[in-house]
Amino acid sequence: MNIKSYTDIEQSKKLAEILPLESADMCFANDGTSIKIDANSYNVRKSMWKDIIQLIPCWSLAALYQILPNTEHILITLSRGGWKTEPLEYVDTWWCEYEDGDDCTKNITVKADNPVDACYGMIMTLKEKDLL
Amino acid sequence: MATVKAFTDLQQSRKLAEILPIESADMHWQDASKEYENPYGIYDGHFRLIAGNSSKIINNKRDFRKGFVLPAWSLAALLSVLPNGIVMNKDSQNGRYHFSSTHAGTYVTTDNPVDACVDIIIKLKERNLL
Repeated sequence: MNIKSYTDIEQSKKLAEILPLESADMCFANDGTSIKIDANSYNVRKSMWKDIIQLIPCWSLAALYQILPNTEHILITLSRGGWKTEPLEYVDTWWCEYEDGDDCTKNITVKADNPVDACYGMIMTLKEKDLL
Repeated sequence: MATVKAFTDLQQSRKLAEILPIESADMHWQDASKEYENPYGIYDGHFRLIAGNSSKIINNKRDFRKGFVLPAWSLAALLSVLPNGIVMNKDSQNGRYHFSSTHAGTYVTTDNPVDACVDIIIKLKERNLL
C-alpha cells in the first residue's frame, strides 16, 4: 500500500521557509549518496549530526494538522469523500476545511488526493491570506 | 512547541495488527533489545520505531510471529484504512480532537488524532463496518 504520510522534499523546503523548524517531527537525511526519511524530529537529528549530514525538516500529517489554527470560532475539518460527476465516477478525495464562525466569507476549502497534500495546501493558503 | 503523537504506540500497534492488514502499516517497531541503544532513537519499551515501508521485514513471518517486529501506523496510514465519510475536527475550545463517521454514527473524542483514529477503527471493526 502506497501511503503519503509526510511532506515530500519539495513541500518540506517550502514549509521550512514559513514554519518554525521545531514543528517538524521528521526529517530527510542526505548522506551524499541517498536521501532517507527519518522518524526522528529535525531538531533531534540536527543536534546529533550538526552539519555532518544534510538535513531537511519534514512534517508528518499529525504535525501538519497540529499547525493548523486552534483558535476560538475557527473550525478545522479533515474529511474524506468526493464524487466526480462528468463522467459519473467516484473519486477518492480529501477535504481540508477552514470555517470562521464569525465571518463565513473567510471560509476556505482545499481538496487533494491525500490528507497530507490537503493539509499542506491549507497551510500555504492560510499563510498567503495571513491567517496562520 | 508540544510534541505531536504521529504514529501508533506499541500497545496500539499490537491491537491493530490483529484487525488490519499488515500491508496497511507504513512504519514498524523493531525489537532493539540486543542493539546498542541509540540515544536519539524513538523507543517504546525496547522497541525502536523505524519509518518507511516495512514490508520486507514484516514479510519475514518468523520475526513477526515471534514478536520481534510489529507494524506501526502513522496518522495518514490510519486514515487511509477508514471508510469514506469520516470527518475529523479539532476543537478550538479545548484542543481535543473529535472523530466521527457517518457509518452508524460512530463518534470518538481524544487528545490527539492518532488515538482518535485507533479508537474509531476498533469501534468500526466491532460493528463489522471496516
